[in-house]
Amino acid sequence: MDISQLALIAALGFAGLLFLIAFLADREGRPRWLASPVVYTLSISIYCTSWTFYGAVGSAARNGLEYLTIYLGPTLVFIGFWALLRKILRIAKRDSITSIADFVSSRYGKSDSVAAVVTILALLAAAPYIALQIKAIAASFQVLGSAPGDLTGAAAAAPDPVVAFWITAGLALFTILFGTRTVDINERHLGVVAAIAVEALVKLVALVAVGALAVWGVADGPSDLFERMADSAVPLDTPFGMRWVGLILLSGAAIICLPRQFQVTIVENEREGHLFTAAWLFPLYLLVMSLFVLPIAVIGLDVLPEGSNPDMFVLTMPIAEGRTDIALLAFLGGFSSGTSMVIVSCIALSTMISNHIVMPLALRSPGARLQGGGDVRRFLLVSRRLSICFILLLGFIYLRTGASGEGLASIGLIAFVGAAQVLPALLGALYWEGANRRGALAGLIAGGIVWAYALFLPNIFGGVAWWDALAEAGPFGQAWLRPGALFGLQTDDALMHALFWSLTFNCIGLVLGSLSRLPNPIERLQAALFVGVFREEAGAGTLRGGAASADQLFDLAQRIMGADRAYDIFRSYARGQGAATEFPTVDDAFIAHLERRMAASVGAASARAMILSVTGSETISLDELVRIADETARLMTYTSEVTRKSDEIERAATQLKAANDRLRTLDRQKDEFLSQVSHELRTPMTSIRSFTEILSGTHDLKPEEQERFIGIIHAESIRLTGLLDEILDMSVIESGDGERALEPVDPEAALDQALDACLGLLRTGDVRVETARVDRAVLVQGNLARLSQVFINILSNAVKYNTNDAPVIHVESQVTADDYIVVIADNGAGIPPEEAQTVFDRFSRGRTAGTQIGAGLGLAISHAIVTRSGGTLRLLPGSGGARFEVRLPLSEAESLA
Amino acid sequence: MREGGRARDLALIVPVIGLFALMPPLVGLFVGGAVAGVPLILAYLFGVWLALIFVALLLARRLKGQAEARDESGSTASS
Repeated sequence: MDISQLALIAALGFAGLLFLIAFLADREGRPRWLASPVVYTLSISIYCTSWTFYGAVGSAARNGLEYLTIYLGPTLVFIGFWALLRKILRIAKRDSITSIADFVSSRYGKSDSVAAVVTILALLAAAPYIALQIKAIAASFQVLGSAPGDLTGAAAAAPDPVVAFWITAGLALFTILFGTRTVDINERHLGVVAAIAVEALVKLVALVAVGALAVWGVADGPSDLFERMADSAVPLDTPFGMRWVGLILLSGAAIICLPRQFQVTIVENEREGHLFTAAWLFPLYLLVMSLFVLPIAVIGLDVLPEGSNPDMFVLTMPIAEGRTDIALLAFLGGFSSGTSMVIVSCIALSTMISNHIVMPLALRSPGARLQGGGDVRRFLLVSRRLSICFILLLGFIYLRTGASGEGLASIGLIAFVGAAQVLPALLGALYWEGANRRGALAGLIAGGIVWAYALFLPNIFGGVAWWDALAEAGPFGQAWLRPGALFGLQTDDALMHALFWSLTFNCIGLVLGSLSRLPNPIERLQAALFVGVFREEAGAGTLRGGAASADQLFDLAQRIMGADRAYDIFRSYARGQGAATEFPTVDDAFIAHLERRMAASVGAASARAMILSVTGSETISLDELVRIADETARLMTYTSEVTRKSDEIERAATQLKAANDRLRTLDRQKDEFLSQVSHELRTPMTSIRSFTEILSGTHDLKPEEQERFIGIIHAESIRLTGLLDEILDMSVIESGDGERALEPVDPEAALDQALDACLGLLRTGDVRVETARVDRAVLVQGNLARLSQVFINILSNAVKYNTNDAPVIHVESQVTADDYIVVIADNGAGIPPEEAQTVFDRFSRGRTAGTQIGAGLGLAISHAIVTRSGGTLRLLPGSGGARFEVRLPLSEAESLA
Repeated sequence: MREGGRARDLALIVPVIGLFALMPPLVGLFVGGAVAGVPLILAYLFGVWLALIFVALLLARRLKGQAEARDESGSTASS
């Protein structure tokens, strides 16, 4: 089999395996190891994409040690987790943050515009990054498929558009199936995390395997390797200058600001403690990945023909050495690197697009109809799926238009500079309380524009005539505006040029924008909550009461709770202290007490922040704080509107609860009914079974005995059939399904039918029937057959349960103004008062019934029929025989007449 | 200063030391030459890297222990 076919099968099989892992991890009761810090660390390793897997070797072959900067920056960030990542994580967990756009915008007064700008920036930056992955995967396919003699990896320079397109489509499908099976409220994807953790292991093992082949398979151990290194073209004396510094800072920014890194490090984090492990384990992973890059580059340059593409050494070097097994492993490693990056990037970006661009637009558009919860869910899912296709399409377009000639690493760096534009706003959010929305927007937009103009667009349009003309002369002939040399900064390094100017303008925008106006109250509040996230923890037990006077505290409290209440609190506390003055002595206990009271109005965190500011361990001035309090008071008026709404919701909830209780009762009744039915059915069934067993098991039965048994079986079968009919009737009537509609009928006709039907029964029982019937035609709403069923039932009960020696049944019908009434009475023993209550219940056969057969559903059915017709069926009180009254309302046609 | 304060200060300063060690002009000193056959610059960069990881491992353990102890005392105090 051809190795490229083998690779295709391996890739598909591997994708299937990932699905299985994701599926198992998403199930309830997932295995414990999934929640381990190791899995968390491995999921962060999506930082190592195709860029690392293929591109780092290429970068090492071209620029020597420079590739290390991409891993040293993140190492420093993770080693310094205590200051930065832990703070972001704590805030994100407290506020249920769903993405980096959400995080930044939430700090700047929950601003939609900031979120949208961050999202657009992230989307643009993602295009080259995703193009890089498509390019690498397509190239790896083509290298495996190219003629065995051609190991130059030339295909990697310009991937076949058809292959690239199908890979893009495949990735879109894969990501949609993977990432958007559900919309999770807190945007966590356990299955995806498990799958990318496995992919992280695969790429590590693959790169180490290729590296081991280089060191011990081709070279003769490390010492030989270092000798070859000294002779090779790999430049070890990389100039450690601006670019080295810039790239370390840039990669450090990227590990925080890339949307997918934020997703796995912050959003998918399960426990803060996991970060303590990732702090050293993730740098270790990076170190191991980087360790073998240089050997592969050195050996690749040695064994492969001159002019080979170093970006594909990881793949071509094993092939050149005849190790197709390792080449295949390397292919899977590269596939893992590319797919895991694309999946998580698309998930993170599609969340941002749907939450911060599509949803706000949908909510604002006048025709928006997004009420029911299910609607929004569906809407979100669809918008996320479309976003994923859109993101991948952008990547594909980028691949087709620009950058196809460049190495993988330099494409990735373009994306890094784009993502790094979020850094100033992010750091401002965490450490500078004065930063506000205007500053954040100004910085993001200024930095984003410079990035696009100096790096992103040149990469797309480079080689196109009009752009080249513009780049040469500058727009409008202004040489100082040339995208490659802004303000006359002449440099060969377009990347550093763009990084410098974009971050410079970004920071200037942030600082000047923030200083140009005072933060509004909500910004100030969020600033205190973000910058001071650990203050709560640190402040516990370290309150210094002496720093604040009672006057100051009262001033603050009265603005939040109103003067009267604040006065009450202060005075009653002062009395408790035994002080003669109106104001208590300020001590820790009193401050804690006041804080609890204030927390009830403004929430614990704000109360803590405000109190701390008065007690002196805070940088916001008291004046500012008082202003917050004023705003809070104004907000609280608006809040009363909200309170009214929430009252309505509460009422609805109460109604729902009542409905729920009713449903529960019905459910219990249904259960009881089912158990009764099975009990009733059991009795005849048991006797049929036992007599059948006797008949089939005993051969010397006398014929008359046989006959008697068969008779019993027959009788029981009839009883069973009758019972089933009744149950069926019951369910039909109660549910109303399949029941004919009500129509005006003559109840007298029904009564006649019933008397006729009972004629046989009456004769056998030698029963005398006395009737006193209404003498005119009557119409009621009902159903003829059902009504006569009711009468038959009552009549036959009157016969069956009549123990009198000379049984008499009295049937009397009459019409009142509204109703038609039939009373059927007998002269039997009557129904004991204690049974009168339950006579209409299902299966309530009279205890006095003795030998009578019947399921005890007759009266229940009758009752249901009459009720459905809008009438009543009841047992009239009184001694003597039983007297049943059927009362049916006259039909409208009748009462009008 | 309370116990554990030093560990926290160290956690803040270690990345700064790491950055300093990896920045020019310090890295430039190690270009050229070799130790035991290994190019000096490689030995230096990976050595600093490993040392940083090791220190981070120790610090993370220490700080995690403290954080858990604080959570525990916090929860018993409030219950």
